[in-house]
Amino acid sequence: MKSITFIAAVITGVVTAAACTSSLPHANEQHAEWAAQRWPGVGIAELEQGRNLYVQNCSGCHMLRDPKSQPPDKWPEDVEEMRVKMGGRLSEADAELIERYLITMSATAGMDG
Amino acid sequence: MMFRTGRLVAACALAILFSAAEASATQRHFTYTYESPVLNPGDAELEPWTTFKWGRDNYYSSVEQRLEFEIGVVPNLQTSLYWNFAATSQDVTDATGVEARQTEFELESISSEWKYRLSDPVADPLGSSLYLEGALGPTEAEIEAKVILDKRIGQVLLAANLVGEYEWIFDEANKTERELAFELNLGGGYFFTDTLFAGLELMSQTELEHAEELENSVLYAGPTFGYSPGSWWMAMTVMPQIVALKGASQGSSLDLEHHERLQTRFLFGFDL
Repeated sequence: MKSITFIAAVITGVVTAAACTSSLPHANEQHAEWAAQRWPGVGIAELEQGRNLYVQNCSGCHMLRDPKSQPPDKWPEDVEEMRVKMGGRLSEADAELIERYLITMSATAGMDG
Repeated sequence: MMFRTGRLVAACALAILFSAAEASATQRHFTYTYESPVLNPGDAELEPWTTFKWGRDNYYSSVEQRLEFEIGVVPNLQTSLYWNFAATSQDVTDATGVEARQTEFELESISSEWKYRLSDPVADPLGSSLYLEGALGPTEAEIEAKVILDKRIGQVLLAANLVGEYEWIFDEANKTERELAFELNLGGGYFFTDTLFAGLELMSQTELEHAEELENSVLYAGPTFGYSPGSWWMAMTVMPQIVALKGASQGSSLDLEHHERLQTRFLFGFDL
């Protein structure tokens, strides 16, 4: 019985700790401001669309990577490589939205909403 | 002619092993603990499993082989079909008290798995999936349900599964045995690089005889290792039995009547 209580406590602790940690950032106004300077017309909606496409398309192939895990200028090369590997199932337009989301989040680390 | 065929098979095997084609594998980093990700719709994967089990009260050695075909159905939902084989060699005592070694190989069952992802381990605060599996074989039928939770924090990956399993065994005439089992799986590990992963797994198995009475409960734990160079991946775990919480064999802290001293599992995944 003690062991079961101990295991239950460990799971509760791990789940609680995990749930309190960071998740993939959502776009906020600061992100949108930064993005609009680089790509005029891009706002929160486009960045969020890029986030959704990133989660939907990429997590079925590999574990998602934190946008901050590499410098912004590395992302275009990686996204293009993945788009080619997906054999045309990811359109250039969708890849561009993903790329803009990843570049913005990498370049604006610390502004996570 | 045979030499040519052999070379062709070897070339195909090498091509599969070292090809860097589309990276569409939903890699598993633990072998007993499931993670929440599912395949994209239309993506398919072939997963051969091998589980070695050694050591009971009497001589016991078993190789379980599972071949899984996995495919993404719609966003967040995947299904699989498994063929489950087992080769077991063990010493058994017959009604006259004579001990003999028996070896058998059988197709245990065919099973179907459905997995629905609720959240992602990176994008959301906690990754989660619901899992349902049904199996049917010549002498058994089984339903298994899992709640899968996981989380990636930097280079660390944590996963937990709560599993319930109900089994009907009809290997005796005019008699169907029922068994209820619960399993808890915990896994934790570290990504040394994008392709190399190592960690620990813990598994608690509890069985209720006739689905009513607590019969045995054991704890396994051991190291796990994962490698994923591109279009294929592998994972392995070595899990010795640590302690029997209920049903320990006489003079031992382990249950070697219902469970093995050691389990080792290898998983491979190949994109199709």
